[in-house]
Amino acid sequence: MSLDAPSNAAALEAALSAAGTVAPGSDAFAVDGLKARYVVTPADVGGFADSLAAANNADASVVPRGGGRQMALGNVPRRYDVALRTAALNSVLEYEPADMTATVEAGISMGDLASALAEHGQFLPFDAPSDASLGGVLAAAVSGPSRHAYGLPRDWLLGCRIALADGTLVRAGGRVVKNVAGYDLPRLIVGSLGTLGVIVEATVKVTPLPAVEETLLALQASASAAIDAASEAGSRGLALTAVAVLDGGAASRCGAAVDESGWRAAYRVAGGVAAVARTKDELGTLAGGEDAAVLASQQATAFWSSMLEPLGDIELTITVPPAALRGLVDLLPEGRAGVVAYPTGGKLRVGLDSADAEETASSVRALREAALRAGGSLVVNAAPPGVKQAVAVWGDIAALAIMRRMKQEFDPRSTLNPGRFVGGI
Amino acid sequence: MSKNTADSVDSRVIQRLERAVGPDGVLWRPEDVLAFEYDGTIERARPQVVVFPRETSEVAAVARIARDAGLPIVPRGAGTGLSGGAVAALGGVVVALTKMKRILEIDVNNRFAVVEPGVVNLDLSKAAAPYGLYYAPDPSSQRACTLGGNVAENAGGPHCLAYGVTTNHVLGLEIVTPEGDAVWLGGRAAETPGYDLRGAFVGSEGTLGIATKIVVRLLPVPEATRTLLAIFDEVDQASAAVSAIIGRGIVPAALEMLDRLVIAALEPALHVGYPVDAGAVLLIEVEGLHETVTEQAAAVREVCEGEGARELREAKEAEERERLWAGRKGAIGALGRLAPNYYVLDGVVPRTKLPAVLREVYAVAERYGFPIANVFHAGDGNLHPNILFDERKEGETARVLAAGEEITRACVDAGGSITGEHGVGLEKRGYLSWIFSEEDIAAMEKVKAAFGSGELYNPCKMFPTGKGCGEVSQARLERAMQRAGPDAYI
Ligand SMILES: Cc1cc2nc3c(=O)[nH]c(=O)nc-3n(C[C@H](O)[C@H](O)[C@H](O)COP(=O)(O)OP(=O)(O)OC[C@H]3O[C@@H](n4cnc5c(N)ncnc54)[C@H](O)[C@@H]3O)c2cc1C
Repeated sequence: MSLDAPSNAAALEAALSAAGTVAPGSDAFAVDGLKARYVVTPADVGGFADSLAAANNADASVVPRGGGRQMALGNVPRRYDVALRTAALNSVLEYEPADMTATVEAGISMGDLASALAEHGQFLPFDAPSDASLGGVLAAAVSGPSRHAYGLPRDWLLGCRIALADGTLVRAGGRVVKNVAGYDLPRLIVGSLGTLGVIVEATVKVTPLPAVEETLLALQASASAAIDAASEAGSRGLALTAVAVLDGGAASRCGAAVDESGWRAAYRVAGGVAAVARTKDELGTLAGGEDAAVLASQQATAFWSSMLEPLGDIELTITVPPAALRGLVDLLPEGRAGVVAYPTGGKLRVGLDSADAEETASSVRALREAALRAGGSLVVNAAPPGVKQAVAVWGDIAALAIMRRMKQEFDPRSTLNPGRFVGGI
Repeated sequence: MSKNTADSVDSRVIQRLERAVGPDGVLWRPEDVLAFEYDGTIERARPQVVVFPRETSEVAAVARIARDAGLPIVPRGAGTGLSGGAVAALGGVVVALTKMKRILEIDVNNRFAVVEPGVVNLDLSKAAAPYGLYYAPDPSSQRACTLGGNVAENAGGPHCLAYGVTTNHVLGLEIVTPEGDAVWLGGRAAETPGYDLRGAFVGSEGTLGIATKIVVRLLPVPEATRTLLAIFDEVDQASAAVSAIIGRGIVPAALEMLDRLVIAALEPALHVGYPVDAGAVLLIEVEGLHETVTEQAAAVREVCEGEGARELREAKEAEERERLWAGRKGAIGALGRLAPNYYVLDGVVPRTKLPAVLREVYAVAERYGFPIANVFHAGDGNLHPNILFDERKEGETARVLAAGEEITRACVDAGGSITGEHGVGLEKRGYLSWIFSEEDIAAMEKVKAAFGSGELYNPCKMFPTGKGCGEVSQARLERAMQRAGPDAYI
């Protein structure tokens, strides 16, 4: 069934309109320069599932969309007919602070979720901009400096409700903090970039906001000095909830400029009063630590949230066993836009501004080879479509055969995000 | 295929298996395979062949031979599982991983270890100790259970409250798929692009393949540990204290509860210093920086006193701490002193529901006339009621199962789960539909299909239906329970 036939398009449009608000595709919802035919905003979970079913039946491809913060991730979609938004799925369904669990609709923004939790002195320790949706953060497995203390999004999702490509709604996991009944579908869904199903509700673990929180910035002479200091601090079990290392470019984006060749190590110190004091003392004895600046609280909030913004038109993410990071920074191209490393988590983000696709491709190749040798991987997190065509966004993937079969099982018509994921899934 | 469901298996299949793993790696005489009939629970079934591969390539060869011969295949670790996961429900080939027990690598800088699946949980921590590192998930069976079994069950343990269960510690896995291919899921870094197949495999109860190498995170031994024993006259006070501790935002490393009956069993056997006249005790451990544990220990004390604790003791030295833990870890084993048999449950409830659900557990005990001893991971809301009984008494086993079902049902009704760490296995597959709809279960079956796992791959586990598995019925469980001797109950 082709949407080129007016009768088919009309039938789909009627079905979508019955399930939610329909608008024509626009630049605001473009993905890699492609515009959708329809932008659909269902009012509730049922409408969301109905929209998906209608699109699936019509062989129309669907790009699910939350806050739109990770739309640059992935290959250029093969087709893009419907932008299906979770924006109206934004209520808190059940929140029992004493259980430290919350069940919410997945379109809720990270900012709204944070406010609801903060009323009870709690938070969800994800590193994502406040206008990102929870569902999107989970689907893209977004992580940042807090991974040092809090791990990854997959560690916080207890259960979810998923709309499958044919509109079937399924529940996975549960609402309690420990549960091994059935396969761990929540983990399979986290990071699957909406290619197996769309998360429409999520039950997450939450955690208490620390009593005291301070941000320290230490000046470092080189990348390796910064990484060494941050790794050492991280390995001491100190009261640190975030650790990051930034080059000059990234530091100035975050409002903590250093001169050209300088680097910064950034620490968020948090916990009880005594533990925080001790941690600050110890940080002071590390290289560069004696000159560490303490950021005022407002400045600190701005610093950590700017760190979550893209580092350039092109951003690469490298994940390796932590000790391999030092070797990788030596390979970073000159003339980059910025670098942020999370040394204790083994993650490196590299921003490039290069307009030259060939030059970018060769940097990517060199870094990717080094990452692979170290037992890790490189993903092109964001790039203009032209660059995406010149470099492999995801690189070669192990177990791709099982992944293809997984896609085939969950979304046999390739309705969801066709082509965007690994191996062109 | 029918010739294979009899006690013997085609001798050509045996020969092929012997060629694959060596003649000393294959058991097939009925008297030799007898010991592999059961795991830690009550179900029994006899495999026709047990093989002991030593290498991934041998596991792959065995998987292909079993598949070609149309024989069921069942992975097996130490056989301490508590849901019948390693029981060869339809016979076939048991793949025992106990000879694959090398620790291949300890990477001190990156804090991970690469191990074979037969490595015993505690042995890894022992090997990592010289580097100041350890493996955090600590099931009470850690002296015996294997890391492969831990991965398959997504095992927990007392210290998983603060550090997370097995899945939080597995970076990567080499598996042999049901079709006999070796592939890596995840790796040595915290994340790999693509679907998190590693995450899907952990907790899959041996139904998606056989783990042949496991990369696990190691943690640095914390600088300070404080261990407290809070003693309460009433269970209700203790469970209220658990909710209050969690509600205050304190996350201890461990928060375990033992009730009067458990103490009555363990104290005379182990002499570790638990007060026999208490209604319940909480064993609470806080770990981390000196400064943090001092603060947390004080807060824990305050909360417990507020909830009416009669006394708070703190372990003064390492030896005292070890004694308290020996009591906790030996508790279930000591229950044999109170009754010939016991049946352990594994429900989970939201932590605020703990007091109400525990009251329901004791009410069930009252209604059925069985003593029920509770020793469990209270901080996670993961209950382990142990129903004490005597199988020789006419009709008791049926009533034990009915009582167990009522308790599990109460957990589900409180918004919880049928299993927190022991798995669904053979035992609880009938309960899966209490918490998942047909559509939910169909989605799980898609995962199974994607891994190439079919009807004969660890059959009759987890899913409520399965060809040849029969109805999941009380009667079936009951028969199994009657066949099992007292030592079949852990
Ligand atoms: C006294 C006692 C206390 C216990 N305490 C705890 C506890 O605190 N927490 C907890 O979680 N559990 C506990 N258990 C249950 C049990 O020890 C765990 O489930 C453990 O993980 C099982 O490991 P095993 O090696 O004995 O596996 P087995 O019993 O041999 O097998 C368990 C399952 O794993 C599969 N399997 C085994 N090896 C592999 C492999 N390499 N690849 C794929 N699948 C495999 C089997 O097919 C089976 O489905 C306890 C058990 C006892 C007897």
